[in-house]
Amino acid sequence: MQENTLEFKGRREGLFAVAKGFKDFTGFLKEMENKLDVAGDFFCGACLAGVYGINITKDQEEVLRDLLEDKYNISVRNPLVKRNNSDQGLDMEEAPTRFVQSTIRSGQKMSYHGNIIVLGDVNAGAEIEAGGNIVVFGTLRGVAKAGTNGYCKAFIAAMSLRPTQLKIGEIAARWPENISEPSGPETAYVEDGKMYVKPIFCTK
Amino acid sequence: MGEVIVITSGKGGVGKTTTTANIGTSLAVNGKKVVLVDADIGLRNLDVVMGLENRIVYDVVDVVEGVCRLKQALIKDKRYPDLYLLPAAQTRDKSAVSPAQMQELCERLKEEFDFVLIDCPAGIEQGFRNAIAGAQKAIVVTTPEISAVRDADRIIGLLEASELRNPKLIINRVRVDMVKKGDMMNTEDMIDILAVDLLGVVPDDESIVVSTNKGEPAVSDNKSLAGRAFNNIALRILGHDVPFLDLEVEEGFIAKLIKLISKR
Repeated sequence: MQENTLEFKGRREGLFAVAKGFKDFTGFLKEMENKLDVAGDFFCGACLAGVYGINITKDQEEVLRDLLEDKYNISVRNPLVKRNNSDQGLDMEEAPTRFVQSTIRSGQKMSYHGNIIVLGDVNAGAEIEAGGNIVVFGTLRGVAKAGTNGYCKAFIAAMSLRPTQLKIGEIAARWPENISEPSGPETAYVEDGKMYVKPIFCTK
Repeated sequence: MGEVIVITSGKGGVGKTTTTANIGTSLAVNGKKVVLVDADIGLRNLDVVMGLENRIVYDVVDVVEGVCRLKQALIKDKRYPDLYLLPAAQTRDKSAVSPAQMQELCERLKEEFDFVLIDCPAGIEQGFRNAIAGAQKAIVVTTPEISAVRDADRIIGLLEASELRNPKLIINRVRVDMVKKGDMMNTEDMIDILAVDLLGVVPDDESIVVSTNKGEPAVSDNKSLAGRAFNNIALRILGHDVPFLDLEVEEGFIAKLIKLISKR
């Protein structure tokens, strides 16, 4: 039996409530009240942009809006972003994966809502865009965007990582010039709003 | 039944027309019946490089529109009896011909010729679409410049999308001295990026400028290093296993002297 959980995630557009395991709206609303009571005035003045992981009807949305705006001074975006799948966009570790068994060349673009694995190179001038993670079994020279739905835990890994640009979640980075060629597979990730690159296998 | 090969590059000025003229001539010298088709309608050059400009009466658009018969538009080369040119129209543009019409034209040409070489215009628009429509194989020409390699990569992607798989690569205008100093991309780097088979490497050679301006393909000049490289490419197309040219023959006097002394 899965535990009922409710988490708040902050993104550029606002707060997202990610619910897991709730059977009905009443339970969800109760948990929300609990959470907000504990938080005190931490969320005061914030804006709830979306609710993931639970089905909410139009009427229920109004109930939620009244509650948050009157009791907690949290504005609720209209229209509210709703997804009944909590995995979508926020947890991509087990998301569906597209395998590409060829080199992606200049001018070609590959977009997918899940993960992308390329068995080949991604050349300069090409672009790959994944809702989840990106793995390139070859050289990544083009532009790669992972976690396009705001999933900032996404990573971009390649056997040889030397892209023109990377973007993970909302964080974009240009590859530094005058950098020595990578000696082995590396992965790029975001931590505290900054993008980092580290070798996948640490030899030392 | 002959073979239809398109020679393309994406970027302009990398030597598509020169390559077409030289490979075509070399294939004809080796006893094949060859026709060169200029698909660069509105900006024709192949006739000039072949030295056949003054013989043009009808062109490819006339053939497609039924103004003349195919035989009437084919120009016989002045040096080699098995070499023909189908010139492009100069007063029209790329939209004068459709890919379907080009395809039909290639079908007719390959019944009569061993090799149909199509000189593709620069770009990826209709001229390119026309040029590749009837082709069974593709040769991509590039130079050791990052922009040319980028365009070649784009072109290879477009060729693959049009079911022209495994195109062959010619690297043109390589300067060995610059590659050695690390000032120019080397062959390995380019093949690494483009991931296609290498058909040949052609050195940067002044004799090409001379032969192009004279309207005589460099392959007929034995002294031209580029001409020999093109000859080898033609032989490879014919299925011969020819080793890649040692491009380091052009050494200065001092270098030769040092080599001679050190050998002893």
